[in-house]
Amino acid sequence: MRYTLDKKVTIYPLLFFFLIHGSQTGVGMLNFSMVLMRGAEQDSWVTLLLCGILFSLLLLMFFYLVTQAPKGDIMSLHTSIFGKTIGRVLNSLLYLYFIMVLVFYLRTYVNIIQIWVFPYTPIWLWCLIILLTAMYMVAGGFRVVVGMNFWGVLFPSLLILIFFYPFKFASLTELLPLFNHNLKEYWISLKLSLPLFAGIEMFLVYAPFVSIHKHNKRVGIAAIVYTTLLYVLIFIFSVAYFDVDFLSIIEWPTLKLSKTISFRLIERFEYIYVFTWLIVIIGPLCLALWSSSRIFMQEYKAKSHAIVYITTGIVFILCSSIQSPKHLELLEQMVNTTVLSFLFIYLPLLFVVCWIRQQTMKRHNKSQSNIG
Amino acid sequence: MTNQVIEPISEKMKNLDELICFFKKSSDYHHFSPIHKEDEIEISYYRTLVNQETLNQYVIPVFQYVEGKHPQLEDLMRHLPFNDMELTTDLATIEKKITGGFIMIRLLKNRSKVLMVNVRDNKSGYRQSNETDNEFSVIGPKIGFVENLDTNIGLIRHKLTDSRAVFKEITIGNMSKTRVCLLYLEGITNPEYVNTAIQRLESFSLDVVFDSSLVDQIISDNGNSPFPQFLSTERVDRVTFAVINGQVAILADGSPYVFTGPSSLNDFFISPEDYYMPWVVGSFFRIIRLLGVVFSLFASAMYVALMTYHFEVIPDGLIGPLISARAFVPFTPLLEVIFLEITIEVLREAGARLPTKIGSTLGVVGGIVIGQAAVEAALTSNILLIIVALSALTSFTTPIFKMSNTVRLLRFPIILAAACWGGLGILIMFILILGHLMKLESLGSPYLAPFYPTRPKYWADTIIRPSYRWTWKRNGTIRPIQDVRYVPKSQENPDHEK
Repeated sequence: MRYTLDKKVTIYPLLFFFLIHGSQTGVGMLNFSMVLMRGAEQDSWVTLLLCGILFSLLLLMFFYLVTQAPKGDIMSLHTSIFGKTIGRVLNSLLYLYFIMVLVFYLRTYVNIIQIWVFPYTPIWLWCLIILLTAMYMVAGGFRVVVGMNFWGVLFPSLLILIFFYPFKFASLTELLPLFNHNLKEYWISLKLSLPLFAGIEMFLVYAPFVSIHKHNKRVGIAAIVYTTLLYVLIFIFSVAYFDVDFLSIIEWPTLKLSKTISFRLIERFEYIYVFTWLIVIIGPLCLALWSSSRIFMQEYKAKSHAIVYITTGIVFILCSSIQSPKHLELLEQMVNTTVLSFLFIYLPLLFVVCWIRQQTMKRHNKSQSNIG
Repeated sequence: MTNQVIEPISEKMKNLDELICFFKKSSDYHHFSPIHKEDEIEISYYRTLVNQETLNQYVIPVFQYVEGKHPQLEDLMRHLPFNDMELTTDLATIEKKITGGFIMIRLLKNRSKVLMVNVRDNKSGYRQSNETDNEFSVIGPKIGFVENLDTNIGLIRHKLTDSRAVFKEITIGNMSKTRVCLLYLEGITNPEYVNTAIQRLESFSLDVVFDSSLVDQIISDNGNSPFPQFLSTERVDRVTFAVINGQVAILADGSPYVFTGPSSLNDFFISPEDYYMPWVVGSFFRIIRLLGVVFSLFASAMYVALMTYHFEVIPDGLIGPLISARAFVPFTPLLEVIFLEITIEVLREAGARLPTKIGSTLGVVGGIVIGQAAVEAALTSNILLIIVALSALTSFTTPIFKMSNTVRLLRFPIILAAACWGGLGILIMFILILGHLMKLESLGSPYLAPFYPTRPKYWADTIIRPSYRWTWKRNGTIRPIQDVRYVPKSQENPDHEK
């Protein structure tokens, strides 16, 4: 049985869907189909599906990890396995990890604003106002953070419907021929598409806030399936609208796709997309800010509001110090490697350690009871 | 120090005679003996508070009847045809009751014990009826609350003929001693809200309660929010509807506005008229109203953002008229919009303060003459005039006055944000408002329910008004004890099920 907090602060089981899905969507959705062209080209949808499966397994693994923790989150798991000192070091590293993710989320979005809408406004201004907004939400508590993820899924879902607009100019034959790539290309695609799905690791921090329900796992996996479908759909639309050769050279294909939409009242639909993406981005942003503050708070037993302000300050300084696109690219590479090694090397290792510990404890208990 | 303010004057008096001397300072205080012979009975009261007719018809004859019989106060009590009577020696009680419209009867034989009889004039100085002018509806009852608390309770009781309706009375205000009533349905309303409301009502103090909206503001969960957390209305049907759905209503004496809670944001955009029309029509009007609010909040801000930063978004066909309208306007879009918005607000405020007849004239003069002249003088563009006028108009579609004020107020920060950061500013403001609404609670119940916390089960009666066949359950987000309102016909009739 997993440890959860008092019923007054836990969230309704359905909202877990929005938390998982909300934390998985980000700026990557606007650019990923072009990036995937470096690997298995039009066959990359296979790797996207594979990602969905891998992340579902990862989520199940998280559920196991969380049941093993005395306080229901990864911080208490660290201290219970590795002792106080090493646990504290690991938790501090986790705090830094979330700060890095936070900087990445924010900086990539600000990058889009700069490229598409306001080329001359300084970066720090956008970082500041978006961070202040996120800080206001996080100061309101976990409930508001979840709410932001909820609206961040609901509002943009309406925008996704409009994607069917350019579909009449698309030809699905662009997806053919099927499976004409070798394993190495698929591997590249997989490595590029795995970071898109990252974000569910925050579950390890907010798990005590998700009330126990028999459908918890099902809801979580449904969210991952929804994310996968969304990515596959956008990928197919992009490939069918632009062809593979063209797609591999244009940046931000999802936004370019939205440029084809025009109404009598609105031209340049991508503006609406860029702005509305703020609602999408603010959800995971708040969640990451909340998670990092929570780690700090649990570890050092500090007051929550001050920690939120301090974390916001650190993120602001880091974000505004990244000026050139080259640095951003470096950051992206760093984040991708860290996220992948955290999700697919560190956490499985932790899982194995946990499992062995549980087995030995079981045996120990058994032998003790035999002696008794 | 604080105690001195609230302390009644009777605390300082040594005996009843001293208190009566103090009362006599006031010219409307009467103190006399109705029977001259022997001077054995004396009565005193505030002439302006008691009903003279009742006094002459029912009290004085009793004195004449007992004349010369050396009656005791208990005998008088038996003969007087009133139910609210009390024998007391306590000075504080006497003071409280005299100022509350009681008459004091005292025998010369026993000078410390008195009989207090309630002959308060409940009706004088009050309106007897009120048409719901401020919350008008074409269809449906037009009777509204008045200033008199008892009349208001009667109005609700006539509509809600059910013994489960309980009115709990509390007195608030150390000078006005206003009676404040809390109405709930026993066995339906969640007792948590009743307890919270009573606890909050008891835990604050005021000197004079001028209107129920004072109480409303003080017991609100977040007093700094621009959003009203209680729905205040003068319509009897609205209050009844809220109460049967499991909310509590709070009435204050001297106020024609009753407020109900816990209310959610959605409640403020519902008009009782929606329920008096066929559900299709009612739903249509409700959607129009909600769209109106969205338009009112964002239209002028969008104009500012588009004209300042993102004119690429405007299609070819529209950019021509927009530019030619703005060609001779010397101001930035922000100044232009703020100028017009403030003008409209000033017009509204002037119209609200002036007598009705002048007010309507002013509306015509202000709206047409100033608007037209401003366009001709090239102070604003005529397209903006349309947008601002429309957004003012749409803000008035909100049925609850307090909420429409909030909508009009929130427009200004959004316009400023749009002028600073374009479309992103609008989105930031939108997210901030959303976050604020998610934090907000009304009597401890979430304000944005049932959308967030998400309860899709109760989404039926929110954006649309469903048919009565589907609304037989109470809204579960405010956790009523009993959730069935009525049994729809299709369930009751076994033939229908076949």
